This record gives sequence, structure tokens and C-alpha cells, in this order.
Amino acid sequence: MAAQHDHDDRLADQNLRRIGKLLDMPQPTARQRQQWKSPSSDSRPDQAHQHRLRAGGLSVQARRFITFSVSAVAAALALVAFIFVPPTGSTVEAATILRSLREATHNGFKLELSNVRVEGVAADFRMLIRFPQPINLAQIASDDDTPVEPDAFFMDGTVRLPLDHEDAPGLNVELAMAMREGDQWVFTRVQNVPVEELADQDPQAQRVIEAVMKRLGDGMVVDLTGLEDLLGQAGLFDGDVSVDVSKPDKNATPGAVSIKTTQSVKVSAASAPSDAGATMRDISGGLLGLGPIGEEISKALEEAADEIETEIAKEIEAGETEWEKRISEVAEAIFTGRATQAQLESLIAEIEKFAGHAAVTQGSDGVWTLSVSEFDTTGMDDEERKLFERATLAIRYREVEGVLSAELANFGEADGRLTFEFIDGIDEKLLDRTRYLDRGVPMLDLRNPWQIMTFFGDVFTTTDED
Amino acid sequence: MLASGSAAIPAAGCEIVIIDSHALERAFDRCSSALYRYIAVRVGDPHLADDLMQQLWVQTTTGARHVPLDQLEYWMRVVARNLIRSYWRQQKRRPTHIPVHDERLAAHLGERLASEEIPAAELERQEIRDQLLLAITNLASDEQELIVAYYFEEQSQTAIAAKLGISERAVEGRLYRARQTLRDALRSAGEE
Repeated sequence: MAAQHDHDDRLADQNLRRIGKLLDMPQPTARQRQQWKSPSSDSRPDQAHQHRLRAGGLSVQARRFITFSVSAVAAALALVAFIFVPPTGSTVEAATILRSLREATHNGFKLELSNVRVEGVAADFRMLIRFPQPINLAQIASDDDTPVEPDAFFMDGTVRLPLDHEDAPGLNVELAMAMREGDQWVFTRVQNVPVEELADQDPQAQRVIEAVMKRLGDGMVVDLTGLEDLLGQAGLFDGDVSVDVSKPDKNATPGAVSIKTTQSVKVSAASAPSDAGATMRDISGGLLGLGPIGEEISKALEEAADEIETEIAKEIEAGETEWEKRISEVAEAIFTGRATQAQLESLIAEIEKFAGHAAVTQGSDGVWTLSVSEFDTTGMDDEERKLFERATLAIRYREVEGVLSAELANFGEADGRLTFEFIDGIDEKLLDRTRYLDRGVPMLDLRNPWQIMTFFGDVFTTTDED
Repeated sequence: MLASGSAAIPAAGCEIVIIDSHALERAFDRCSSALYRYIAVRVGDPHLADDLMQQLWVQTTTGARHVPLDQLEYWMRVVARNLIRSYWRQQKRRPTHIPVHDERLAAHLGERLASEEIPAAELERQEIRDQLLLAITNLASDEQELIVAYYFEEQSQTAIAAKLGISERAVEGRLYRARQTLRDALRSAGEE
């Protein structure tokens, strides 16, 4: 037997010697190795540089447009201010109006993204936040670290991939989440998951994922009210879930809202996104001791964390252009009521650069609407131009009350719509999970380990057979 | 016992190990040549491979501080794989000359590697070369460096032993295990 092994190994050795002579093995130089750790080096060729410029799948022009769209709400406030003030002393009056906008109070707001279709992927999303008492833009955009805690939060959304999609044909993901005092839940339904791709050709993993996806395919409500208890037992979580609407990061979109927990687990949409990857790794490590399904979820979390961190690294490397920095600063200044005359004028100039058409119309209900369209798509490629060329921006404003809503419409391959509006409250029906339970969707109570085991019983049965 | 270059911070009822930046850099340096080969073979463009290596370094410095040192190489390899996938996803298609793993061919090659003298004409075939490059660059950095130094750079066992600070006998043993690993890697289904 040993002789056979020696013979086999000698043949492998001989073959490898010949392979070594025939194959070109990439080998980095010492200079290359040093340059990897000096990302500021500009000695790379254009092709690689171009790759960085397109980080995140968007060209610089497209990213500029998106930044513009977000900032346009702030810019529109400035325009409205100019439109509604007498010609004399307009700057002072504009500042007064901006201050009043900043100080006007609201009970909550809604952000809705509907009918979005990009490269065949269709998505809808809405998020509503309600505060226990009226708050103003100044509190939302405040630099101080005291969070304004809402008393209710709701979000739902769907993502649908086309049947001819390369990675996940027909994938359909539906998600809803609600949080209010003593009542937190999430509903999820996932269909047409590319199980083989996810399992990475591992038959055991494939069986586990198939079983889990079978459950998720019919929809499932998870009671998150028990989340703190569960994670606390695993030593992963020791804090309260809250919604933090303070301005978390100077790089975040002005006025953006992040959801994060107060201590060890952080989930943030707008603040430092690297936290999300680290958090997923923290959770993933803790799941390793929870059996096969824990390991599978852990593996999926690790991969998701990798993806997130990859995107973050690209964003960091792509950096923020001077233009983006300037617009962000001005937008922030307007939201916080600190815009100077020069900044206001510069925003007007930016709008004129981007829009071929701007008009103000008065409705019968005393609402004025500022419409901006014919955005300049110079520098965009054909695909990006298709996304933005028909886009229109509409700001609704009522004297005394101020801005009511802002809407970016007709973008994407369908008539996509992005709407931001202030709201007085959230329909209680949205926050109530019973609409899912009444139609037979099962509920998983995270405080009940036995129910979790039973719920995923077929998963454990499947893996135990291996 | 903590690995050198790391510190334990008790938090939220569990121990989180933070790797310091010097330890991260040392770990990156130790694996970087192997990771570069891994990427370069799979993207077929040395400049792009450099670019992805830079991204990998950024990711390592920003995201790997909580990864146990003994899992850091695996972590970097997964990130490298994701960087490649992400790049192809953005490009929407792969160029035709990029090696693609062929499970059956690799397994067949793994059997033949230790059972016959593979004719030179066969080793010239692109699909055979692709499977060999994919398998060798998928080896862990220690074994990959050994295979590359001995078979591709034709360094002697004496020179390798001197560089690694080990005996020639130990080099011979490690080479034996590296060949075994390579054969197993070729024979096992699904490289990545």
C-alpha cells in the first residue's frame, strides 16, 4: 500500500515538474504588493481606473444625478422661498421662510418608492415614521446626539426579478415590518430562490436551504417582540431597539433616517454602513452553535456581510466628487436653516444647469406646485439616459404650512416614482399583523425555541438523514 | 490564549477579539501573493487583479478586525471571490478567455495526475491548463507558495528550507502533503 502511495506521489511529482515548465503562473512584484496597500496610487491603467469610477454599477454622471435628486428637495425649498417673497429684500425674506420651514412641526413622514423598474428588476417600497409629538426639520437634521424616538415605524416592499434574469430568474421577495410599543413583527415571503446557486453546489446545504425556502415561499410572520430576549440569551444583544433620527454621520444624506439599536447590534441605513457588515459577522459567529440551520444562516450572513463590505470598499474608493461635496453642504445648510445668499444662488444655478424646464402653478386648494423637468442627461450612457430623461420633480407648497411633499416621477424603465411627504399619523391597520394571520400565514414566536424547532422540523429531519 | 496582535474586549456577554492593524497587515502580506494569483487567474487581467487586490486590502483593514486570526485567510479568500463575482455582475458577462471550473475534467485530471505520465500535448490544451491553474491557485497560501516555489520557480528544497527556516526533510514532507491536497482538490467536486 505504501509502495503504491509512493508510486502515485512520484508520478504526481513528475507531472507537476512538467506542468511548472508549461504554465504561466501569475506572480506579483514587490512594487505591486506595496501598491495594493496604497490605494491613492494613480499608476494604474485606464481600464482599471474606469472600473473604479463605475463602482456600484453607476457612472459618475448617474451618481451625480441621484445626489442631485436627493438634494433637489432642499434646492426646491430655496426656489420656493425666492418665488414667494417680494422682489425687494428677497434674500432676507427667503431666509425667514427657510427658518419657518425648518421650524414647522410634523407628526411624521412617509417615503415611498413605487413602480421602479431598472434592467427588468421591479421594486416598490414605502416607509412611514410617526413621532409621539410633532417634530421639526431642525430636530431631524440636528447635530446633537439626542435621538428623537418615534413611537411607530412601518415599512413594506417587494422586489421582483424577471424570468430571464441571469442570477435569480423570477425571484420574488416580499417584506413588511412594523414596530410600536410592545409589538414588533416582520412578514416575509420569498419565492423562486436560486437554491443551487446559494448552496454553492453543496447538496446538504441545498437541502437545508430548500426546506427553509419552502417555508418562506408560503410567507411567514416573525414576532420580533421576542428578539431582544433571544439575542440576549445568545449573548449577542444587550440593548433596546430604537429608531434614531438624529443626523448620524456627516456623510449621510441630510435628513436621512437610520434605524439602529442603542448598543451592541446596529442596523443602520444611513450611518456608517460598515457597522452592518461587522454586526452580521457578530451575529453569524453566535449562530454557529445552533445546529445545522444556525450554521447555514451563519454562512449566508457571512456572505452577505462580504457583499456589503465589498460595496462599501468600492464606495470608499470611488470617493465623493467635489461637486457632490458642494451640493451636500448646501443641501445641509438649507435643511438646517443656515444657507447663505451665495449658497442659495449656487443652488439656483445648479437647477438651471440640470433642468430645461421649471414652472410654478397654483392649484385651487391654495397649493402651489413647482415642477422641474427636462433634466440634462449629458454624459450619461444610453441605459442611464433611459432611466432619467423623462424624470420630473414636483414640490407641493402651501403658504404658512410650507412644503407638503416632494416627488420625483417618471424615472426608470416604467414610470417610477419617489415621494417624500409629511404625514399626521400611520393607519393602525398597517401596524397590525392580523391581516396576514387571518389569511393563514403562520407566525414564528422567537421566544419559543420549541416552536422554532417544530416550525423548521423538516429542515432538521432532512439534514439528520445525511 | 489570544493570538499575537489582538486584544479581547468583553462586550455584551461575549468576547470580541479585535485584531490590531499591524497583525492585519502581516496576515495580508503573508497571503497576498497567493490571493493575487487566485484573482489574476480568475479575471485574466493583471491590472484588474491589482485593482481588486487594492479593494481587498481596503476591505481587510476596514472589515476584518473582528475575524479570528486563524480564519483571516479564509475570510480574505471569500472576499476576493465576492469581489470577482461582483465585478462580473457589473460587467454583465465574462470574457470568453476566463478559466471556468469544469468539475468532471478537474476530477479526471486529479486521477491522472498520480496514475500516469500525462503527455505534454495534453498539458498544452487550454482547458487542462485552466483546471490546473484554478486548482493550484485555490490552495491555501502556505501550500500554494510551496508548489509555486518548487515547481514553477524551480527553487531547490535547500533554498526553500533556508527561506522558511526549516529542515529539508520538513520541506519534503510539506511538498508531499501539498501534492496530496492538490490531487484531492482536483478530484473533489466543485472547487468554488
